[in-house]
Amino acid sequence: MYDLINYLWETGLNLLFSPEIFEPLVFPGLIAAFSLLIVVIWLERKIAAIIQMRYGPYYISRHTEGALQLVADLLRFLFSEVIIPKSVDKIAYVLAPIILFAFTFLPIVVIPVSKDFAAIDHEYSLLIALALMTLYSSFLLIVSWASNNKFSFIGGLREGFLSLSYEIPLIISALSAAVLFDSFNLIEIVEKQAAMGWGIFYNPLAAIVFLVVIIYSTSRYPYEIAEAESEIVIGPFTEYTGILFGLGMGISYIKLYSMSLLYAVLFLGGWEPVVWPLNLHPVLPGIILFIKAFIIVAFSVFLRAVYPRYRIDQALRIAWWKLFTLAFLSLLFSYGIKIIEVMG
Amino acid sequence: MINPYLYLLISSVLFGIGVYGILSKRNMIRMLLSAEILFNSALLALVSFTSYTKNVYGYFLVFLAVGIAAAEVGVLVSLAILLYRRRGDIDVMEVDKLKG
Amino acid sequence: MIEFNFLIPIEDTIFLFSAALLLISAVLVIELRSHVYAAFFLEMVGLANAVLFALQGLALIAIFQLVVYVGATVTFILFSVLMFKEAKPVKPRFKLLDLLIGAGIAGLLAVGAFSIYKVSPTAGKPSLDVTLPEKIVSEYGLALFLVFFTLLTTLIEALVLARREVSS
Repeated sequence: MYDLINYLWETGLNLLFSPEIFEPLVFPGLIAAFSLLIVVIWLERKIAAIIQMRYGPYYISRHTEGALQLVADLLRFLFSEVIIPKSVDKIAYVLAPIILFAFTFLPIVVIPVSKDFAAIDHEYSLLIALALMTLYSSFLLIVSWASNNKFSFIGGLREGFLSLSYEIPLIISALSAAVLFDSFNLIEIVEKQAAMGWGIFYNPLAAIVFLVVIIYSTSRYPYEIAEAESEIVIGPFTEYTGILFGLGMGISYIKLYSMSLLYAVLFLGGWEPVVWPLNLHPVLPGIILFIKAFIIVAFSVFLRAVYPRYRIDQALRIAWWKLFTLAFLSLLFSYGIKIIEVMG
Repeated sequence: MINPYLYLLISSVLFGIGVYGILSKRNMIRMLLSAEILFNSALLALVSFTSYTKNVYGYFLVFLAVGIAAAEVGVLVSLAILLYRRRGDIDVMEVDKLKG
Repeated sequence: MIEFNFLIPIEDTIFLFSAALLLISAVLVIELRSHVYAAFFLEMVGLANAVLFALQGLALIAIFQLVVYVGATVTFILFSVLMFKEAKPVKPRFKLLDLLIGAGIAGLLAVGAFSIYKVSPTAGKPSLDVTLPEKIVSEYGLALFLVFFTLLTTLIEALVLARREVSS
């Protein structure tokens, strides 16, 4: 009996710490993403409050500056009733945000945590992550259509316009990083960065374009056009209540998180440097990756406090004129660096 | 390993569905969608032949086909939008009454 | 690293799932009344097709299909369809005849493909990533399974929610 329990415990532990389960469920996946969600939304409110000389979240857990506010909000979302209005298309109204949420999580599965710890170590893992990211906008369109509401429909159309314009700079700037390190495999890219130096120093242009695209595509502030609160309530999720609204609010943050992880891997050296206490187990270098991604997330969230919002035509002009040109220039820049390397 | 013929079978069934759709619908958008199904079936057949014969040129043909399909859809959809703006209707049987 | 031995042949399961998704959503594209749903199921057709490409060992083509066809082209169609009013349903002309023509063409193609497939066992140069999907499926099958499982549980959750609303 004791042996059996011991055996089950051992295999269970092995199963939990195998990358195929640990990565989607625990570390860069669900649990880490949810805890980041709770911290980041609190941080966003607090930063905006400090800059505007207010208190911000304050009443729940007063001694820790209201850090538990988001936990309270989450509980409230969980237990409040899900009201499904009469005029909506019921199946799409309920299913679409849930499928959207699941699809926003998918790119995280491809992103490696360290050299020996990746759920999917594929030759083209960078491309797989990008391909899974492009599915986001179509599900958001379905969400906005199903609500049968003027505001959510306008929000969905805005997101559609934006997505048609940001996808090309996103892919080209990621490809210029791939050209620079001569590989589509994210693990190899980080290994090359450990030998050569971070990507942001080699090709700052691509890094800037990718950062702007992150802010652009997850509707953070200067480009917060699809969810503009002062114009169209909250965009595609206007009609939602309860836990479905909670999902909708979380989706753009999860997307921000997965894109920031990709940014940290491509331009900020991933999990390097691996110093002493971190090389004990292959999961531990992921902490550095997480910290780098968190800095990007915190930066994009901080922009809410300092920028006004662009109009949609201004944002589209920026995407097609400036970002598109800069992305192409960054690709040429990468090829130039490769040529110099070959010549010298 | 899956028998390569199964892919071709699926592709032909898909082609039949697309042909049925394009024959039985009169709405322009629906005909466009059926044509896209035909394209998908052709692409599947092309890919399975490429994979079966391991011919590298098939790769480039598929890339070309997908890229051209993207452009073609842009043209067709904008045609449909123009037609809709002009007539408020996208019935194909009415298109031959267009003048000017 | 532990080895996982599946009782179910996972490659065949993925093949069956994606083939069923492909054919069912193709029928739905044609038969559903709402244009928006039809465009959405066209997207599912593209997605299932990409999975079939990946199963045949052409991962790069599958990714390309996902980015260019599903991510851009069909999203563009969906985006445009959203702007049309829902058209009134039009009665088809000769439904049975059309069905017969479709089935006949499908049968002809299947027979033709079978004869070609029997004739040509020519093997050219081995392409680069033919063995990759087997590797994915054998080594990382569990991750794929988990993803499918998560999607399935969310679907069941959603169905429960929807049913509760209908009954009240």
